[in-house]
Amino acid sequence: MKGVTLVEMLLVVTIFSLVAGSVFQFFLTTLSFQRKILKEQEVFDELGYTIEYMGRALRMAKKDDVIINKISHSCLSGDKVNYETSSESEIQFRSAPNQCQRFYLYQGRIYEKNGLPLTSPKIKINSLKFKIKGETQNDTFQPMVTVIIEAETREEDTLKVTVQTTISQRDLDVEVER
Amino acid sequence: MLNKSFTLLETIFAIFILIVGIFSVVSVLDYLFSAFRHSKDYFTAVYLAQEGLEIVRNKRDTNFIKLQRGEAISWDDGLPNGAFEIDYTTTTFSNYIGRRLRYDSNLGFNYTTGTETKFKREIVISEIREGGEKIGISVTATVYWSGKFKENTFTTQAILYNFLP
Repeated sequence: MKGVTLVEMLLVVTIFSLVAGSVFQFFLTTLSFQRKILKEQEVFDELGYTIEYMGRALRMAKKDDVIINKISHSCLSGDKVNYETSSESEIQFRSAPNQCQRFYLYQGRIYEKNGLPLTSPKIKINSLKFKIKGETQNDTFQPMVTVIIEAETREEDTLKVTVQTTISQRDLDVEVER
Repeated sequence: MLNKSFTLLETIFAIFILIVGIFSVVSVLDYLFSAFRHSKDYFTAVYLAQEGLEIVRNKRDTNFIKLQRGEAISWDDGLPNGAFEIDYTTTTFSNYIGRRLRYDSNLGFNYTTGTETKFKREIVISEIREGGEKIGISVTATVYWSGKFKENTFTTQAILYNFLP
């Protein structure tokens, strides 16, 4: 009589469950990776947008306290400065469309002048820093702003991203009569 | 035949297939993980490279300002041909010796304080001549960092002209 013994049966079941289990595990790991990558992509999208947006505005900033068509424009407390930081996580300047622009960190999000957020609640900005150089009229440096951002995802397994760039103002820092 | 069993060859063959299978699964996972790490570092590297170009531009524009104020200075002062290292905290370009950037929670990426990061940044300046006259400089910023399997780089370039009359 031909048949399958109990030992053979057990062996087959063991091998099968091992193989099936590892394949299943593989799919689970891949799936969690894919989720992580998607979340990471979100952080990059948001941070990329924010840093490009701030970078463009900072790059095109104008000297404050200038007279255009006989009207004086003043955004900053200092005289003829380009940028001002009341604390390191906040910057103020006169933007190219002649508005008083401001970027600041508040409760883990980056905002611009009218309280409009640049980052979503999905990511948490742990630190935002602006370092300015050559912003006054009496130095002989072209104004330059360094932006440092430390961000992370608001999930239990957090992903931390640090990004830093420096922006040199495009307008030459010389007084021009207009 | 009741005591029919596997031959040595069959066993070896079976083990071989099993090993190949396991190995490929592990390598796929490893690749996924390294790709995941790569995109994060790449993001940081892109902006560090941009910073490199902006620092050189800032130096040229600072020279322009000094010229406008009547200082006897060349527009390309401090910007000779060569490979350099510089961070935003200083204004002097030092020769590239492959130092890693450091990260300090207060100062950010720089060469002097903080913990060493995986990033190196090389700024290469070469002159652009036209009719024997130096009309501008070509600036290339390359950020290097070592990944799990290979060395990664990100390169970006800018051309800065002397546009003052």
